[in-house]
Amino acid sequence: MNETLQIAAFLLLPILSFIVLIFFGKKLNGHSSTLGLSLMGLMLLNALILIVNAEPYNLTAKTYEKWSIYNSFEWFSTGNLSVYLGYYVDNITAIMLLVVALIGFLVHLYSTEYMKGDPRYSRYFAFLGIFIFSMNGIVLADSLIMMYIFWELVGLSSFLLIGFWFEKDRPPMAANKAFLTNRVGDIGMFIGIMILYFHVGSFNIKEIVGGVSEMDPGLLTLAGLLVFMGAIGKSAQFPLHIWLPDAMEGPTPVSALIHAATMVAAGVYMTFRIFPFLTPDALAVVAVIGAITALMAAITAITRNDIKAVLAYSTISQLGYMIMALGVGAPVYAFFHLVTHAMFKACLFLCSGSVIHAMHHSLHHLDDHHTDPQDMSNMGGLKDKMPITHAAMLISTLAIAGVPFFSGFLSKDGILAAVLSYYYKYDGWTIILPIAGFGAAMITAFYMFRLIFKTFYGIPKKKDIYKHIHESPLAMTIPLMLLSVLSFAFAFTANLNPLKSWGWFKALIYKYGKNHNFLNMKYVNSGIESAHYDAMYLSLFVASIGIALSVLIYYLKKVDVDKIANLFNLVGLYSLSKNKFYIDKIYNMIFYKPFLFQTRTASFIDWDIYDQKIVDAWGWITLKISKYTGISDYSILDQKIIDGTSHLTQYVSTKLRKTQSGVIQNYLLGVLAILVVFIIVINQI
Amino acid sequence: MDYIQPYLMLSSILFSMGIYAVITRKNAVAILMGIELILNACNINFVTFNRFGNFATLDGHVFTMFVIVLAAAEAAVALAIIINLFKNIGTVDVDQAKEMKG
Repeated sequence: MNETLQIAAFLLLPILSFIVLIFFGKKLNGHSSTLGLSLMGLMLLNALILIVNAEPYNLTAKTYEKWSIYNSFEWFSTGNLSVYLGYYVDNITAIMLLVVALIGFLVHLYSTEYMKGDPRYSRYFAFLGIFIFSMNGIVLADSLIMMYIFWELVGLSSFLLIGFWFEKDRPPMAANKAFLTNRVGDIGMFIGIMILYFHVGSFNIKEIVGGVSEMDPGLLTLAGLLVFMGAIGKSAQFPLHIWLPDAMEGPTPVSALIHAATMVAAGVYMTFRIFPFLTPDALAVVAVIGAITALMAAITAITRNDIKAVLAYSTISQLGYMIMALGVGAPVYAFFHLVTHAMFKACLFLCSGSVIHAMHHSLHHLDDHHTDPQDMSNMGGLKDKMPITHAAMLISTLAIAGVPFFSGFLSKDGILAAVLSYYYKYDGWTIILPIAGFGAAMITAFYMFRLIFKTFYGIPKKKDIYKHIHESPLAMTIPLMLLSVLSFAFAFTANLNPLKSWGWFKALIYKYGKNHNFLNMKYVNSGIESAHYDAMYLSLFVASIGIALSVLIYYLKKVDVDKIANLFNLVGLYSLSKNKFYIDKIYNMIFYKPFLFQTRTASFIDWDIYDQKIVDAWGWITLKISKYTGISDYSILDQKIIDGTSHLTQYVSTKLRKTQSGVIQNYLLGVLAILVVFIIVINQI
Repeated sequence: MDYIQPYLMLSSILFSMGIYAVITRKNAVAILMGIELILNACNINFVTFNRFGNFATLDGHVFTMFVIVLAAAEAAVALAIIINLFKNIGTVDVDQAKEMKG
């Protein structure tokens, strides 16, 4: 019971924050962040208490106790269908909860300064609350249906936060795009869940994993891929990645929390959970999608000038890595990369937020509302003005580039080893996976240092803006410092040897993702172990090439950028990158334009023809008919017949009333006269 | 006197006089007197037909007795009405009592 309460706190605390702030936020106003922050602090504490329970794998003794707590209750049942909701907590869940709680807490802290003065300050924190509620729901869910419910809630909160500044032009469009693009994936996910339910008879992930062996392999591949479609949408994989760069219209801390560290990782987390029953065919598709995404997003990121757009494409690329790792059978490394990426990418985003914040204030000071505060071509030389931001951003860039001593090196190295071993094993077309993996690693190192050099080094592009740049306040720099510390490899291994990835973290996740319905994971893992050194040297090599190129072009300026661009343009690469692989344009042509044409045609038929001509014609006819019936009814029936009757009655009665003299003797006389007449008449007969 | 005509003529004359009084007199008391005449004309008829008709019983006489009693009661009620009429409109002239005029 205590456990259930402790787990429930992960859902109750953030939803409490949401409810209080959405209803009483206006009254609290400035204090709303304090409330949200303290509730997040409690949740962080709770996550820390929970993770102490987690059992690490003891490498020397080779002992291991599988620790998990789970519980479920019936939600509803009709006929022979009963749906259960419940939670399942193991080491992976506990780590994920800690990541969400930690980044959530830091983003709350950061936002107290970043969002200061916003007219909807408390609503912002309310939305953060509902986001963390739904994210924790996904993480805790023990069944696909519960995961799906929170999946949609996460989509909603993402929609609300992207469109937070809805009075501007672009955020509402971006929010719609994100929501609708996610819907495409979610529909597939729902169909996949239903296929699994009708064949296994349960939504529970554990029961599905146990029960799919009797399913037709082709159908299981289809079902697995359909469920994975949800991850394609949520984790911004090709071809549904287009929403994530647009989602940068939201406030930057939101980008850090949702569109870098947690929500987009939900797709990876979900695929991690369903990994055991994905067939090898499905896994191959997953790997290829991840590879395409990783490489394509990395290439696109090179030519972005918006600081957040670079980070957005870098996020897509890193998510591609994780998905690729899942596809080649290394879910542990995917999860490892998820966590390290959450730390350094959140740090990068918060740093970019700090820069944008400073730029914004400077522009505000100059009363300049046209210059884009996010455009890197307006920055440069900020390193002296913003030392903390610069240091944090440099550390996290080294981490994402895969430099030893930093966390990204450990996880990316594992992924690349897995990819390489996959190629060793299957040969043939699978060469594209290591090419994409190592190529993206090189390009990542290149464009991340491009970002650093363009933002923090060189001479300031705009002197007057530069003059008013200041380092951000403490509430914003503390998260930066903490997250940059967590970007060191030391934080994950507690070991100063940079090549050794074993540590407390790996010990926690080591035993997970080791079961698969169709693959012999022992074999896969030994393959990864043997490819380890090849991958490490190769990744070090490509990362240093990337960094060296970047230094050469952007720091030392030995090589002219335009020349290189023209060189690459010979094979069309530059324009592909500049135009984001034309994907938005292709979608525009294939989906939006035909759809708009269709809706316009439908609208023309509906309004111009059906409504205006047919429906309104009925109105016209009715009008005419009622006009004539009105005339006949009023002028003839009413005026002549009805009124005529009453006029006649009135006339007759005016005449008759004169006989009512009130004198009884007159009446009596009348009676007598009639009597006499009667007698005469009777006598005649 | 074995003829019926004189009796019927008497009763007719009495009845006509009563009717005439009822119709022409303005005084309510006089109208009441007229009604008494009419009733008495009836009584004469009852008695007459009992005498000349082929009746074994005295039905006509009994009816006459009833009518006399009725007339007395009627006179009491009518006089009460007339007193009330006088109280209300200050006269017993029936022409003044025409609130029912339409």
